[in-house]
Amino acid sequence: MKSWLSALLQILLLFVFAWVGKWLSATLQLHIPGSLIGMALLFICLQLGWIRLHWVEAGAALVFSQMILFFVPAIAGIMQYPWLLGIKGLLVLIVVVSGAALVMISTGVVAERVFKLGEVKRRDSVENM
Amino acid sequence: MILWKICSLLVTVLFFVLAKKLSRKRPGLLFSPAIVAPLGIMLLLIVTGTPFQKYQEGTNFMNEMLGVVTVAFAIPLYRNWAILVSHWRMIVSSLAVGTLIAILAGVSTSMLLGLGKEAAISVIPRSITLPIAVGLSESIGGIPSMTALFVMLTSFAGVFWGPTLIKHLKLRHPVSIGLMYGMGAHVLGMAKALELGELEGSSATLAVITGAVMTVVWAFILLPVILSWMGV
Repeated sequence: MKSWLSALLQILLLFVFAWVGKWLSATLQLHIPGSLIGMALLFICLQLGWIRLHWVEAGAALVFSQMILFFVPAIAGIMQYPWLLGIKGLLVLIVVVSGAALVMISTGVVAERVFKLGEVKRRDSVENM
Repeated sequence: MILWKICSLLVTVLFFVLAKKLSRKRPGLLFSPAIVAPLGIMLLLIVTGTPFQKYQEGTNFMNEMLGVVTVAFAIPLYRNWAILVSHWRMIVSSLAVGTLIAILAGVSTSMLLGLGKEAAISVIPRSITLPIAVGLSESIGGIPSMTALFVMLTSFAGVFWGPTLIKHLKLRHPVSIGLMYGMGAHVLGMAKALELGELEGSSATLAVITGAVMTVVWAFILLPVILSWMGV
């Protein structure tokens, strides 16, 4: 029970960051999602040691583990586009599936190339995987 | 109104819990809670004749939570900062290319197929994690729920392509495999990459976060160009 309560309190702390980010985005007329600003703020606070990792870790773990729940309403919003069931929906599928492959190929190939071009070889313990 | 909110939130949670139970019994992409729960909600809304707008108002707390999820991403980023810094060349160059291709491929294919302007703009953030994608879509004038759809489909497509691509591209380095998964399939990719190893998992997490930041940057650089190209 106690661990639940502390995780909930930690989520509240994350909420504060999200809210501050939103507020900054609105007041400064920045066209960046407020949640991203909140993420940057939390990261900076962690780096500076103003926020300790164990103050937010359990809350983040809880939020991550149930992440899909928060997507449900957003995904259900698809029902506003009945045309997706038709020929247009098939086109969308083509766009997405081909695009996904292109993106993954380019990312993977470039990463591997750069690595071979002489990324400083660190003795990773995972080298033999 | 308060009662309606509590009701719609409870129903959403209930469907989610049921969907999770189902996916434990029947593992696989099609039975993922990310598909089953929203489908259940849709059916319920259609059967009861509730307009979606009303349900959306009732569940706007969930959208607030998406913001919290985004904020929480600062934690894996902080934890893996040392790895990120030591592989920065690889990460920055591959993700810069990946995100650029994601935007260009999405916009050009959707314009070519005649899906219309709104779809083309909504497709821009589709290669990043959902909570950030939805926020970005709002800021650049897309339709958030349509972006959500593109993100979900991309995520599934990415997991589907993953193993084939690793084999054919002969990817060896755990960081490149992780980056590819994170860039291609976001959260699902993170889970998949983590199955392969700790370093793959954390690289995928970094790809999801860094890719999101880069997409935001690209989107604002390219948006004027894209809009003029569409002839707005």
